[in-house]
Amino acid sequence: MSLAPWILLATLLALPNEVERTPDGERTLVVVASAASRAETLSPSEVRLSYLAVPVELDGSPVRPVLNQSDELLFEVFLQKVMFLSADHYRRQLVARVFQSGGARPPVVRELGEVVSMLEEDPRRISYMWQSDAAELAGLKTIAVLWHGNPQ
Amino acid sequence: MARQSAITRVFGSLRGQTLLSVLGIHALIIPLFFTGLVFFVKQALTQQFVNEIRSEARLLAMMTNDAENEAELDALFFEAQLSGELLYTAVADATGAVIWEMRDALLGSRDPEFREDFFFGQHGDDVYFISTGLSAESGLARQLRLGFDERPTVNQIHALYLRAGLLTLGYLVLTLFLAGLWFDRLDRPIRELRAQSRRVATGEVRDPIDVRTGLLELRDLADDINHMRDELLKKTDSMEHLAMHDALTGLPNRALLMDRLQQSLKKAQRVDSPLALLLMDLDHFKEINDTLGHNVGDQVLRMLPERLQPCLRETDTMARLGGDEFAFLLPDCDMVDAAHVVHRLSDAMRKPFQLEGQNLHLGLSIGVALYPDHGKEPDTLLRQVDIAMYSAKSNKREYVLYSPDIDPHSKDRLALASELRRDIETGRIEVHFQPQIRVSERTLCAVEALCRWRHNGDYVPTEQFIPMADRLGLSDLLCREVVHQSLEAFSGHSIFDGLQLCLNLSVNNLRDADLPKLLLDELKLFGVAPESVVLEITEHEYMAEPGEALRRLKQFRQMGFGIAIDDFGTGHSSFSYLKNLPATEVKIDKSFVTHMARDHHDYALVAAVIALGQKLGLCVVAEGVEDVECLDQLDELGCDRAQGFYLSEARGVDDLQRWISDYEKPALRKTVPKA
Repeated sequence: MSLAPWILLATLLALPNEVERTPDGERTLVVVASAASRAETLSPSEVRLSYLAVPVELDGSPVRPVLNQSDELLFEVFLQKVMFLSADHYRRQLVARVFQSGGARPPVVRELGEVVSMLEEDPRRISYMWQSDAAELAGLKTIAVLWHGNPQ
Repeated sequence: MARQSAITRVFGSLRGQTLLSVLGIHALIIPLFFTGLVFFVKQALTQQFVNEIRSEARLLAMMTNDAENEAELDALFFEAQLSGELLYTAVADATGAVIWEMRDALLGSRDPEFREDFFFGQHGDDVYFISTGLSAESGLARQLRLGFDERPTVNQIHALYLRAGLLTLGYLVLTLFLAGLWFDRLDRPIRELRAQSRRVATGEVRDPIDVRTGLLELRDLADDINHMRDELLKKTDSMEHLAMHDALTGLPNRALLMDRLQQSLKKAQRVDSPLALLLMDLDHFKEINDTLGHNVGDQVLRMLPERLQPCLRETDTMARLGGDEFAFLLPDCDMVDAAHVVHRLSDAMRKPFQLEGQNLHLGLSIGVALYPDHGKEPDTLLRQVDIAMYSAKSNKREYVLYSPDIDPHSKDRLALASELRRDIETGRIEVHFQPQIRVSERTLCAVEALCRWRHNGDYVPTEQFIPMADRLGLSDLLCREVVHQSLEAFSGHSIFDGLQLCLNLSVNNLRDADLPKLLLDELKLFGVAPESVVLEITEHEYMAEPGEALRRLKQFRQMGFGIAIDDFGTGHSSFSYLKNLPATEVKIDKSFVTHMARDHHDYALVAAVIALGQKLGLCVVAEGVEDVECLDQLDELGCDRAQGFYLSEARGVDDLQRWISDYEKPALRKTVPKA
């Protein structure tokens, strides 16, 4: 029996989840939008409301949040520091609100590149990501810092 | 090897296959079931915990904002920690230094470092640490740090593992139990079906296969086997019928008769009732076959059941034993009833059989044997009835009831044979002499030696004990005894002077190679010339082995003995004997002589034989002279010699001596007048 598949599997399992991190593990969670967006800033409370499908306007335009689930830790930090909910409760809460008040659920995106594409397509869209990622990606601008700390 | 076979058999069986299938399926289902259940419930528990922690942290942060001093903080978090889940509370300043802290007693000796968790159990310290910022009013950039006990949720998860394990185990046990029930539901009718199929295979096909099952496939299988059983039953019945019945007449055959006879005898013994067995043989049936062909004979046989069965009761059995032999088993039937049945059968047979335009008349001979008088066993009864039937046939009687007298193998007959052997071997056989006279002169010329056997004071008829001696292989011994006694008497008494001695020989005697020498020795012993002795042999005896008999008779003739053909006229080739045999005498059978005085046919035949004998130069002797008219007619015809009861019966030596003395007297001679 060839050992190649097992070696490949072991290699994949050994790969660290977070390839990119600062030496001391400090991370910063930021809200980003397209560089073409006219939005300048957004408070954590507004971010929370917008992600609970509550209409929030920025420069006269409704904010359209995008759920970035490309990184599980990122998502959990976002839920803990911004939404103060667990993942399941957030989803239930969101569904309940959409059903009760109308509106639309934020689209869920599991690829970081796709997040960027969606933000570039619509300047009214916002999303969250690690500041380090935002710095490396072109066409984005940071409009709010949500949290800073060591998530490990 | 045996072990491997047993294992192979177990896993090759329906039970083994079922077990393997259940285990195989559940080897896939149970892990999915178990891990799925655990995963979702664990997920729900941890999510619930995390959600509560996050909500509570935010709430406590808001309440902390309202606290104006440390005393209020103490009061607030003291109450919060009373819930038992909040173990650690601290407020840090902008630099991260703890400026206020409260630890719950439940934290015990544990002193975990504050490292914020974002997942349940992230750092493995059983405490979920979470921090949240406080508002500017309570100090900018201040941070509320909380530590919640994860162990209740961990315990819940452990309980979940245990319950899921138990549930899985219960599921597995239930599944195996249900599989067992299902297997039993499937296996029981299969075993039943197998047992009943084996029963059918061993030939017990009378009872149908009945398998109690709701399974359609097994019912169909049972129906199919039942169909096979039906076919087998038909074939078995057909074969049994063929084995137990005569193919030509459809009547029961010998095997079935014997079976029914056995059953009937058992019943008769049980209820103490009589039973009759009849054996019927058709007279002249052979002639029908020979003259009209077997096809006609078979048609007659086929017509018999239709004609004879109405003479029987429903409980009676008519069977064909073979050929033209039929048996009738009559349960609960005594002699009187059997005689009625015989008469009915006889009456039924009187009407001719009409076949191919001809009326065929068939007679019958029936033997009758009764239980318990004549036998208690089937074989015995069948043998007795056979004897009775042959007796009826030989005596030309319609029927004969068995009796030991007609049975050559009866105990009485066997005892008689035993005593005959003893008497021959010990010389107790007597020899009597019957005088023979010269007809023309009425003078004594010869004596015929005849053996006599006295048993229990009475003489046994010769036609009874001579054949018996033959059957017992004593004919040679008997012959030697008779020859010895005859010659001894013949040479020892003067009354025999000048007379001839006639000795009877059977075909068995002629086969005896030592007989010529014996005769010569005996003649020499007693000083008798061979010319004084006439050896008599009947036509029947000669016909049995003509070649051997002829050679031996020629030998005797060459030795000087006279040769007489006895009982002449009763055989089939009398005239050819006269030509071929070295005979010196011919003895006309008494059946022609006795009634010749009243029967002109007998007279003509006797006259012809006398004339023929004379032409051939043979001495003619007439046997069976019983009256004077007969003697006179023989004299007229020129017969040489005569013997018979009119002259004298066979007598012992002493008696013969007296008879000769009397015969020589002229007065007595007058009783034998010459015409």
